[in-house]
Amino acid sequence: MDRPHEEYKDLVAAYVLGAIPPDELAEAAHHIASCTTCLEEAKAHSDVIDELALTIDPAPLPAGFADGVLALAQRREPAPSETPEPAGAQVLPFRPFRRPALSGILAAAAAVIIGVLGAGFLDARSDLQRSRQVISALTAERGLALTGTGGSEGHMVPTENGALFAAVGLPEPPAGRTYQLWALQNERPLSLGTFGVEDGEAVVRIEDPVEGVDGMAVTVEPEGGSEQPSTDPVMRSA
Amino acid sequence: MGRKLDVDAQVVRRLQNGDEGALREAIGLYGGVVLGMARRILFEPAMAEEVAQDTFLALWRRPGAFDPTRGSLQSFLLGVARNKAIDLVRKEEARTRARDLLMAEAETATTMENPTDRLEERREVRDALSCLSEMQREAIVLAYFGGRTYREVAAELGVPEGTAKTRLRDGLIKLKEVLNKSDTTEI
Repeated sequence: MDRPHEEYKDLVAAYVLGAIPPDELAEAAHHIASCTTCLEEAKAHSDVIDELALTIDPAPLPAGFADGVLALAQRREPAPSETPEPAGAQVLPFRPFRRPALSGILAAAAAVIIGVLGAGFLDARSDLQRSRQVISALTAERGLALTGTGGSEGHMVPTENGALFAAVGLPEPPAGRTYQLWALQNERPLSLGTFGVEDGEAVVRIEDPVEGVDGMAVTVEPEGGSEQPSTDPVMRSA
Repeated sequence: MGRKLDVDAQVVRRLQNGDEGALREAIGLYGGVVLGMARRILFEPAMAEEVAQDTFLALWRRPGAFDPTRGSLQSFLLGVARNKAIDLVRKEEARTRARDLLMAEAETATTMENPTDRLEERREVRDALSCLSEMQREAIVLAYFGGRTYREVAAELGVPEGTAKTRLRDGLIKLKEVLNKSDTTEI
């Protein structure tokens, strides 16, 4: 299945520009995630592309623009906090379920590819199919996969300083409720924070190293989160 | 630069605490360029405004998606805005409307005067773009601002797909070279 590196080399620039067609995206992501040369090239291109954004002339905001955003924001429940548990929560060693331990190099590579895609990439693409492919490709290289109700999927990918959790296919939580992410060690749950959903996608950046995890789960909790899961998981790892 | 990132991190912390004032502040700081990015890609003002508002809504809903170690809040917001705008452009109607305007822009490389801040940076990158070959610049403009896949770039420029990929790659490499060179001369 792995074509030689030569065949992917020319795709890296296109990939970082977001110019790969959907049917090639997963394969390209998979190769880049596992190839140090391509990752380094992707990082270099990504820096330049950020500069391209600087060529934009700012446009004058129409009157009421900010009010409009706030009105939209208030139409649904306010976004729940995504910060992880306050200091004092136990930090456990991360061990992807049934996968060999990650080397430092792979973890750094994961951080770069996530950075290149950006959580913003996952954030803004409204094409769930495409998001799923890319996330799956990354998780196949490293990380933990979760499955949930209604065909929803989640993936946890470790990064340099912590981890990134992305989920697709989750509906908006009911009013007054939020999703909460848990890491499980010996069946004991540790909260990794609460999160909301936009266009069926959710992203949680976990800023502290999380280690020795046997599994992960997502539950629906009252807004603000709970100390312990109070409902059955709507999504969990195998 | 360090202080700027601290400001970004602070705004995000306040957003995570549901501070609406922080959202207004972010809009005040970056609303103009976010709208500018949306306009550059979509051209149509109503669609552009919607994309710009959705960008800040996304920031409000998921402030944790921004990683300060990966770049500035401005870059993050522009990335989100660009992705949302490209999703729209990839729908046929918006694309046809924008195409002629986009190609016209790709063929020229003018540095426009504009009495707002960050003028120097803007001019620097625009000058760098004008250092690319016309073919490289067209390819990059189509991909970056037009949301074209490399296959579409190839079709629109009438070149083989391999050529399109190479132009994108060579163009980005050349841009980086030119920008790094101009960075060192400013010291």
